[in-house]
Amino acid sequence: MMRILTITAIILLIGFILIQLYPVEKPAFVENNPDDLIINSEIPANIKSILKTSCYDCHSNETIYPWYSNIAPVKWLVYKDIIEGRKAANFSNWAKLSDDDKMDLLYDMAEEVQDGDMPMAVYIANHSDAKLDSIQKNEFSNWAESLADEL
Amino acid sequence: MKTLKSIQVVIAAVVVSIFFMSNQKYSETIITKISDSDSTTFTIPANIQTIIDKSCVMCHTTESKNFKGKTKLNFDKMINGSYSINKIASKLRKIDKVVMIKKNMPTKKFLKNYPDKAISDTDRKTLSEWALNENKKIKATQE
Ligand code: HEC
Repeated sequence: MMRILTITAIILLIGFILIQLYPVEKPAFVENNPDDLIINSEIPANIKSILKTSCYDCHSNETIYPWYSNIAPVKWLVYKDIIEGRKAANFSNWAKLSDDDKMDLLYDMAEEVQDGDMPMAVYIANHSDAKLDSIQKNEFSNWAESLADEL
Repeated sequence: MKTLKSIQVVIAAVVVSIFFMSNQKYSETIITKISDSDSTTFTIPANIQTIIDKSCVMCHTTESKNFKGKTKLNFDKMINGSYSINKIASKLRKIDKVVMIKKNMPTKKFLKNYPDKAISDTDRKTLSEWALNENKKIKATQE
């Protein structure tokens, strides 16, 4: 009995080590982003802080990776979400967008945050400070809408 | 007997007017943005109304049960002044995107359940050309 347990544990451990070797590309961290949304716009402090804590890990080049996010199989899921998140909206490239694209994104942001679709539930589960209460949701949506209305 | 008859007439009138109103919902609507000094018009002509009524209205009006659909696009709000002019322009751009480029509207599931509400390729083109043209008109007033 003891032996079977030991062998299973060893097999699992070897498997765990082996999957670490499977190569996946990590979305790069870039420190200086001259086209960044926050750098290029005057944003109220409360909104800035929501953007940083609730959005920027997936929607900018300034992703902060928790230690467990670099270990397979978790990293496969995390990297995939970050790649998709940056593709849908990357605030590090904000100033390069046309006014039309900015507008479309801002209305999307207002709707998704208001509906609770963003930040993603799996992200909130691991980043409790990213969770937005209804006041923050309203503040954020109103800010995004009015910025889009003024463009 | 006479009162019964007049009640019938009233009911008929109400039914007819409800029918008429619901059919007229999205025809030739003009929006004026109150907060701007210049007013911008936005039109849904009858042929476009027909397409929207058939293939989109079930998910994209205030009465729709599809919560996600109506928060993303609400034709009632588009015509009653709730949407800002930029928001209308943005939604028009997106109508072209989902109808002509992605072709993901109406949704697959909807088309499976209501095959009679499918949108033809010609109607897709008509709808998208209208959307892009209205978008251009709005843009022109903003320059
Ligand atoms: C079965 C319900 C349903 C029908 C019918 C339907 N839609 Fe949608 N529509 C949705 C849902 C749900 C979404 C939100 C999708 C998402 O964001 O995941 C949506 C999103 C959209 C969007 C994107 C809005 C945005 O800001 O991103 C547009 C534009 C749109 N629909 C246009 C149409 C048009 C035009 C028709 C008719 C030809 C139509 N829809 C028919 C349910 C529907």
